[in-house]
Amino acid sequence: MAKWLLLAVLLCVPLLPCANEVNLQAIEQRLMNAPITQGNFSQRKFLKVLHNPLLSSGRFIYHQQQGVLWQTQVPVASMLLLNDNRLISTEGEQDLPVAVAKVFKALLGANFQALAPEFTMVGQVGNGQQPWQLNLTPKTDLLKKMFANIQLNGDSELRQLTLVEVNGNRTELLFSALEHPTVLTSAQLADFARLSHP
Amino acid sequence: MLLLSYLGWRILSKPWLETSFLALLPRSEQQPQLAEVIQRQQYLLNRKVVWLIGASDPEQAVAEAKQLHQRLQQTGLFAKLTLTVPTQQFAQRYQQLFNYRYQLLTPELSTLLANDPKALIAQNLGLLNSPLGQLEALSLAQDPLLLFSRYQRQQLPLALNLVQEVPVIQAQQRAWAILQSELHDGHLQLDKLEALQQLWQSTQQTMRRNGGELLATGLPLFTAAGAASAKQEISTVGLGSSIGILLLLWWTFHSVRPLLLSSLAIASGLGAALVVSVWVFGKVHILTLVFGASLIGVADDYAQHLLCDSLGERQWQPYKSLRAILPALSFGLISNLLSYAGLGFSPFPGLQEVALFSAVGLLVAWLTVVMVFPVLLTGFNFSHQPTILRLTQLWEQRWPQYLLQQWRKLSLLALAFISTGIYQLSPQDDVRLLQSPDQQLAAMADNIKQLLPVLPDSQFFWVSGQTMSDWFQNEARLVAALRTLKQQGALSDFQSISQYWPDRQKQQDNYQLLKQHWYANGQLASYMQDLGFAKASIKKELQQFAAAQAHYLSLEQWLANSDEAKQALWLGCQQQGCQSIISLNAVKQIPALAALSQLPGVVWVDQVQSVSELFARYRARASLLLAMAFTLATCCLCLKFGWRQALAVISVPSAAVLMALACLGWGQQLFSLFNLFALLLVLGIGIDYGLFFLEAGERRANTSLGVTLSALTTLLAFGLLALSKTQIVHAFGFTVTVGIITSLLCAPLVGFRKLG
Repeated sequence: MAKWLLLAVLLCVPLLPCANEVNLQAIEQRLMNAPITQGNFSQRKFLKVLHNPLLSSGRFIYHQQQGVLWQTQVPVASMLLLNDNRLISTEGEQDLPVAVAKVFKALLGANFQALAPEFTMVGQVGNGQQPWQLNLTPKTDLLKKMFANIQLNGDSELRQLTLVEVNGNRTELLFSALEHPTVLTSAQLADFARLSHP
Repeated sequence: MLLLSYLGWRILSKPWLETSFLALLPRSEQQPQLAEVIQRQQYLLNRKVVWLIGASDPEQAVAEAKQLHQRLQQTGLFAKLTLTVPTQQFAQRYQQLFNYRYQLLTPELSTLLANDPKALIAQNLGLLNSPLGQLEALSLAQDPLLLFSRYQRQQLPLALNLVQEVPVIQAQQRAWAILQSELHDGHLQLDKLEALQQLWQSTQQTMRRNGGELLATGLPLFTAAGAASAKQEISTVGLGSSIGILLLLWWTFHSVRPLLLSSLAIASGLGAALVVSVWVFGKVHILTLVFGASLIGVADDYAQHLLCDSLGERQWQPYKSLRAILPALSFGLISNLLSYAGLGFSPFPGLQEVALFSAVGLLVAWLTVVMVFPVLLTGFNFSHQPTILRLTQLWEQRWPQYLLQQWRKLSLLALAFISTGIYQLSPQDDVRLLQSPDQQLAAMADNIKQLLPVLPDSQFFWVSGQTMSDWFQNEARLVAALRTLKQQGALSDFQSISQYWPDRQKQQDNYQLLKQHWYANGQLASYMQDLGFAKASIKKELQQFAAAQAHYLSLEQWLANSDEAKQALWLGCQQQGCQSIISLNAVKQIPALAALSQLPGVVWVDQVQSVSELFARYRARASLLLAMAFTLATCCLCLKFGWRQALAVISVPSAAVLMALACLGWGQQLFSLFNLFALLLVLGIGIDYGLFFLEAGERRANTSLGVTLSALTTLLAFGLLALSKTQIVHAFGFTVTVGIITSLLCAPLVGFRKLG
């Protein structure tokens, strides 16, 4: 009898809706999935040693193939350029592991396929136009050393990204005025070209 | 002979073959201290090989690199293989320097502080606000101005991306993982070099088959390729000339005895030459062996001359024959030894070896002919008319006749050809051209230099000073100049100690800069307050700064926490003063860098350039040597034969040398020191031929056969050298070939008029 019961339970498992399991496909269908996204960002960094958050804002461009161009305008102008293999900033080449740059690009593009090997993903998807929310926990050693977890919020666009570090520091990013041009401007192309030069 | 064999067995049982090209260079003529520095630097470079493993994506490249790492490890060739960069370990090591953060500012930062101290605020905000500025944010608590964070970043090895701790760069549509290796020894044995060459070729093939790419560079690879091609050439030259000579002799004598006897003369000559050279020099360079292989042809001269003297004799008596030709043989030997003595006076160890090797080889071959041949030739009969005899008779009788009939026209033609040819001759002393490195390897080395600055160039700066502080100031001045040149693109990068370690004075200056512009005037407090630090944190930072006033990091301490590449730059302080090296990467404008040697305490070291200059100087000296050898030989001949006959003999090598020079000019061939040494050989051989004919008397037929045979055998040996891919060897072969042919064409004129 117990055997039958166990079998019945096992058979039923796939049918039962799981609270944490997230339907990534549903989110992907809701997203615009445009190859190029650009817009404004505003960032709040909560550092444990500081009373107040560090505030900054600027423009960003995400391009599926080329990478990410991150231009901080306030409080000081600075630039960050990255793709899956490289990370260049105003300060020159960065010595951060390139894996981090790769993850940052995948996060901005809400590219779940690229994120799946690095993170366990749980979250909630509402019906219709309701916003969705994803919570990512690192799986790989390298990312585990840096991030406690990462949150993504959005609807048809990614609206908010929160990076929580192991040491308690936290970075919150809000995106606005998002648009999807079909081609890059020549200035943007020139910036991205720097990633392919030694 | 037995003694020789025994000695040979004793001496050759140790490693005796030298393959490094650097061993060919004379010991530096400069100060011994600098020679030591150069040697040390070369020892480092001689062991390093850098491998770049290319694949379509970084993970694939790293996976391939790990496999290669394993394979290289299994060979046992390498003392050290570095694939992963222990970032953590470096970070921990540098962490020990944290106490000295107010003293150890990067040169850029101290310049910024002196000129525009407030610009630091904007820079720091840029760093902290980067969405990926987690590391900076983390160090903010300990290091609010991010001083040490900057210092540490500047010091970390290779500003590259790490994938699974393996450095990977992105270039030319590929990801390249970097594997650095160091061989056990700066001077690899031949078998090890072969193993390295094979390893490199097979790994590259495997990698390409899998759709990847493998690049590698380093001096050992060049040496290995050079050794492989030299070895192949020795086999080709040795085998080719042996087969040619054997066939020629069989065809002429129809007997095995001359063949065996010639081989005996050559073998004992070569054997003795090898044993004595190893005994004297410890090792014999592979290039000596290549030149030595050509000795086969010259050593054969004596054997042929004696053998051919038996032509047409029913009851030939070797001793009688020997007595008749001994003067010519001996004069031939003496003239050859004289030319080799010239080689021996050159300061290049390689050429001294060639001189000794050849002189001993010839002497022993001569002794074998004079002492052993008559005994072994008892009962030898050479009464048939060999086919070649008809040819040599034609050459010995008709050819001089023709020459004498047409002499006006021909001499005009020859004069025109020689003068215009020599006019076109342009000396070339660049050692890089002479060495003719493997084309593929050279192209790859250039490619790798573009990709990343792992291997320093062979040029470097040697910086010294009477005291530690003199040295530091000298180096700092040079570093400032180099930084400007780097921005102008004269070089891609450089490594120096003073970039990372400020001396006592500079450390105090740095501290004072911070005190004046940040800590004593309330700037730091307002900066920290604006960022949102707690009052207690500000107070603590100010206290720590005050407490660090007397801190001083000694060079020894700094070196102990540094990596090997930086440690190798420091040469230490001796009685004469303190000295260091500044290594350079991808130098593009040599003159601009060389000009910096005007700075005090700075020496520009460019071995390639100085060796090229040395070659040029010795080319001039060798020309003089050649002229002296000519004069000497002429004087000797004058004393013995009178000036008319001496002039006749000497005109043979003179024509040969001039013709060789003209052909070099017309053929746009390389003309260097090495051609001059070839001309010395031509002189010796030309005198030989002239002498043989002068002394021939009524036996011109025998002499012409002997000279033809020896010329043909020599041509077989040297002609094949002209096929060599190594420029020096090729130039040598080409020059001797033209010289021999000309000698052969001119020699029958000697003594011709006397008969006809």
